[in-house]
Amino acid sequence: MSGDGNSSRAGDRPAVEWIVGGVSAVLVACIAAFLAYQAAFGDSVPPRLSVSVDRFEQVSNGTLVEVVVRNDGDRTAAGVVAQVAMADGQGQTIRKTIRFDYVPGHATRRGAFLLDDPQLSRAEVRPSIDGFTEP
Amino acid sequence: MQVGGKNDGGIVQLGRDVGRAGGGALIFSLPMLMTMEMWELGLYLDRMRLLVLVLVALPMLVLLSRRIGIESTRNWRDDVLDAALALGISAVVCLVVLALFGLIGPQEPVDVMIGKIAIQMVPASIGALLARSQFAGSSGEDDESPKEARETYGGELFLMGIGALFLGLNVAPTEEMVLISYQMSEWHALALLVLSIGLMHAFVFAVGFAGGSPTSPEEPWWSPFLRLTLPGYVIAMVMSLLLLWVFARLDGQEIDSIVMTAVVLAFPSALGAAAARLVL
Repeated sequence: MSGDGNSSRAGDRPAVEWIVGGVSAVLVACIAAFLAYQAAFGDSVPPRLSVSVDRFEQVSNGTLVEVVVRNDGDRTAAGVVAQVAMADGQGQTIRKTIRFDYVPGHATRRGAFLLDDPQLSRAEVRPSIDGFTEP
Repeated sequence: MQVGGKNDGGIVQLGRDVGRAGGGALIFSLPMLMTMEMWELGLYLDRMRLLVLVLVALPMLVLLSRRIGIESTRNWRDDVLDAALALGISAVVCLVVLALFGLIGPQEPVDVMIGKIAIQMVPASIGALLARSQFAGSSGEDDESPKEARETYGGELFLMGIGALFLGLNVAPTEEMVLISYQMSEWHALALLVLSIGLMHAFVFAVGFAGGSPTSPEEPWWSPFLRLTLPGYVIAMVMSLLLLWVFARLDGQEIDSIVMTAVVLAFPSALGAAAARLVL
């Protein structure tokens, strides 16, 4: 490495400093080019949210339903409310909701519902998205 | 450590060093000790990521001690002990402060207590080591610093890494980092990248001419820009990505969001990297 002190001129610098500088310049240029490309040609599709059941498990005090919320749009959705609905024994519909602070574009977020009925089957649980806001 | 060789004043010197390190740890980690996200991360953060943070920090602390430490160390063994001492003192400082805030107590599981302390310990230990440069200067006792006179290129980049890690650690755990990136368009991110590099270069120039940095007034502007500013920004980006990963801020994100969030965090990290010579 260099120990040239303050009197060095640009031409006197060791090759390793220029190599490190050159590699860094290429990396920074790649990041800038990626951002510029996304800014100029990337889509700006509003949030397109979907929710699906990822894991369904009987636990000691009910049924654990793990869901995955996916945003296939480009923009971030805030305050995303996911819901599951199911019928109880008397024909009534029970709904439960959970709220995700943010679901960025093309990203996924996970959450879980704890339902009281330990006898539920996967087919009885209907997940959906209630709504969202802009961040 | 040099304590044994300092004859009758050894205990007093050790007390002074420990007190100084404790003060540095407290001052540098207080913003994080009083940040809610840091307590929560200590609760749920994947222990493997926490281990990675400590393992990355450990050699950096040893190297930092090599340059600037609690004591005037002269060999690698001393530097390793110095870094371990800084980590130990930091753990105690974090334990005391978190206990005083009522954030940890005997009712907490050991795993949670260790998590809450470990995550705070890393920034605090940087502060403990830096206490020497921050507090020793005014006392006049440690003015002779052979490593200050001339900084090598590798040493300069290393200091940038420490500066980026430290300032990045202050803000990376906060939710605002991702929230800011959600509010920005790619044009904003591009402008922020240019601003970060521009400000970094201003620091590199200002500090380079003022201190012993490997820049020279005779050089054209592009020489330190290519050799120091751009590598410094890459270091800031790498540190930002590491911290965002450790704090689980990249989970479930696609490449576009990851780059945007990294550019946001790289702004303070880049300033930390560029100003490292002023602070460290």
